[in-house]
Amino acid sequence: MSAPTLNESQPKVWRRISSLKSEGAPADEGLGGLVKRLSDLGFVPHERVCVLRRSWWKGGALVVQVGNATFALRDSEAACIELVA
Amino acid sequence: MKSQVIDLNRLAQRRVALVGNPNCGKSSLFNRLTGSQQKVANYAGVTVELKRGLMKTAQGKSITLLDLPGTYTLNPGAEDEAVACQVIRGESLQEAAPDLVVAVLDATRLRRSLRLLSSLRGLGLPLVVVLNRVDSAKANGLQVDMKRLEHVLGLPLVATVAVHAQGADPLRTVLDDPLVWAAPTSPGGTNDDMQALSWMLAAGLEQDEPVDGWSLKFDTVLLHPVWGGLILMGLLFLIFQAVFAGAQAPMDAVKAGVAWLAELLAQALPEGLLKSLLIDGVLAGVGSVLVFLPQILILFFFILVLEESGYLPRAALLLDRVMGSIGLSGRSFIPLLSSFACAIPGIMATRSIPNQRDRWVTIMIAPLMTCSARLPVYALLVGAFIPAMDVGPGLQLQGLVLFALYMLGIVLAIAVASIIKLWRGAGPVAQLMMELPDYHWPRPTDVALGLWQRARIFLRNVGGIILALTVVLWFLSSFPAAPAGFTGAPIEYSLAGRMGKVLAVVFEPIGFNWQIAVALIPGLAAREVAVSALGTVYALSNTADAVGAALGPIIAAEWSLATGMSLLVWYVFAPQCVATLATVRRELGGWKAPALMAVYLFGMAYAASWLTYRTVLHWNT
Repeated sequence: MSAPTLNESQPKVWRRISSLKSEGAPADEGLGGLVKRLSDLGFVPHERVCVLRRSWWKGGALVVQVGNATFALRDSEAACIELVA
Repeated sequence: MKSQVIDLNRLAQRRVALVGNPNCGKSSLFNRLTGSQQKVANYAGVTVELKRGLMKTAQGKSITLLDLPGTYTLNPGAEDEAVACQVIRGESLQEAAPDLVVAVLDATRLRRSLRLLSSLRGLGLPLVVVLNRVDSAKANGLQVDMKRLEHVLGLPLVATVAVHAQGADPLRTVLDDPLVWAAPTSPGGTNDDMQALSWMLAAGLEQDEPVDGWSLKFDTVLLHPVWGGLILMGLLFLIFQAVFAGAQAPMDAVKAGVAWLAELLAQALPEGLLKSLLIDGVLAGVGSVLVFLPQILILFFFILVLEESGYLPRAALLLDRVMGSIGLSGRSFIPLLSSFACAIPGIMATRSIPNQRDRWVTIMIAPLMTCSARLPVYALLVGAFIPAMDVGPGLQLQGLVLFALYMLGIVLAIAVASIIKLWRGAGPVAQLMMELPDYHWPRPTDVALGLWQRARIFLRNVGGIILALTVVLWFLSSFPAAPAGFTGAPIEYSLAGRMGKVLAVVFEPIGFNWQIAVALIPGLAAREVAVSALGTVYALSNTADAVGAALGPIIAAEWSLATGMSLLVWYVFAPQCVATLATVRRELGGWKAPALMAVYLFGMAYAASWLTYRTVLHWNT
């Protein structure tokens, strides 16, 4: 019963962020750091978010719009962003 | 009037820092406020450096304005953001804390702008808030009630449109108000995002509604894995074409100008030391470097336009996959592209790479990107040793060799990065999280200011270090003067000649003669000095009256093909640039990294040159 995450979201469909989770995130310089950074960039609860483009390769980078800003995210980074079902 | 008199002297030394999110239009605002009255500490391929400028308020008072790298937060994620945070907090060793912070809000991205403002409030510095891009916000259908927002924030607020000529005037006016300099700010709240939301609610502002802008439409093509990739390749090809083909006319003009000056001096001055110093030393040396200004400016023009338009991060994204295969990420692309102009701004641009391992590898391979300082050497050697003939429709052998040299550098960089990946492991997948800003037309003034700064830095080097070294080399090459009965060229008797002959023992196996060895010594200071040094050495070696004679034909006659090729390959590595090594030391701290870099570059250069020399000797005899 896990919440849907951004990396699995359908392209071109607007969703809302419910929360950020750190488990399952890549063991990059501290999990808290990754989540902190994402929220610094504007990936915060209730913000509207949409996958614009998905890579042709599995696990490739995603282009994501959050509010009014566009970001490139890794699949593993997008996996930390939980969406309102 | 009264406050003006009281404040005049203190205000002149007052320092204001511009702080805001990346891509909030802060740099345009800075250019608008300071015009050409600004200084960059060094080259900046991408704005990672602090810029300092002088601005005038509406009443004509002078203020020092600092432009800090854009930051999303006061808890920095990368080195460039750290620079901003240290300065604002007064923790920087180079810059004193500012007297006032101007927080630049992007009206089209209010929530995150206000989040940064919320954390800025906690610093206890006087704050002035600027709402930039009000025009774009209006176009998106967002109306901001300025009076209400100012009341809600409790801070002085002005609206600006940095792209309009008078767009920054409200800020100039508000800085004349002595109250804004005194007002202490309230302590920041605990949760900056909550604060931002409550501000927006109180000011009656809707959350930024996503707009389907034309940037997105462009991206459907430009970020397309096939079309986007092809467009990027085409762009890079166009840039290199322009650097080599487009610069020909202005380079010829500079050459002609230097030759004309040499001629003029030769006629005006009596025979003697002064004439030799000016013509053989200064003109032969400095002139041979000055020629490359057009190429450097053309390359920087393209980098600046790509940067200003918002395309560069997209190129980085397109290349992320390719870079990933050698253990790097797309974020390494921008520093490496800058390294084609010069490794120093390239190495400084690695500050935007948050992953320490990636940053280290990127710095290590940056010197393998063919910097513009190597162009003079390439151009000289290719012109002297490669016949100018067509090898196909529109294909010129000399151009092809030049292209091959650039590719060789890239291939070697890939090899080195792959070896590091095998040796030290790929490390964890690097963070991407890179903003793709809206596309916009580069403002001609911004590009012109950027080019002007590059030209000034280049000319300052030519007039400073290169001129100085050339003069020193002229002295070393002229004294002690040869006695009357000396049979060889006088330079062989001089200090430089003797040093060169000692060094030549080391370089003899790779085919370098003592003249090259002499030229490599001042080449330590900057790669292109080697050409000016060769110019001086050969100008002084020539007993014949060959003043201003081109260096190319001389070396073509005096060196073997093997020596020429060997030196060409040596310059693919060009390990002797001290400025690069010093920058590496400054950026990574400690001597370990620059020592490693010097050893690996020298080792590879020596091995590759030896191989080239022996192969050409074998094949050519």
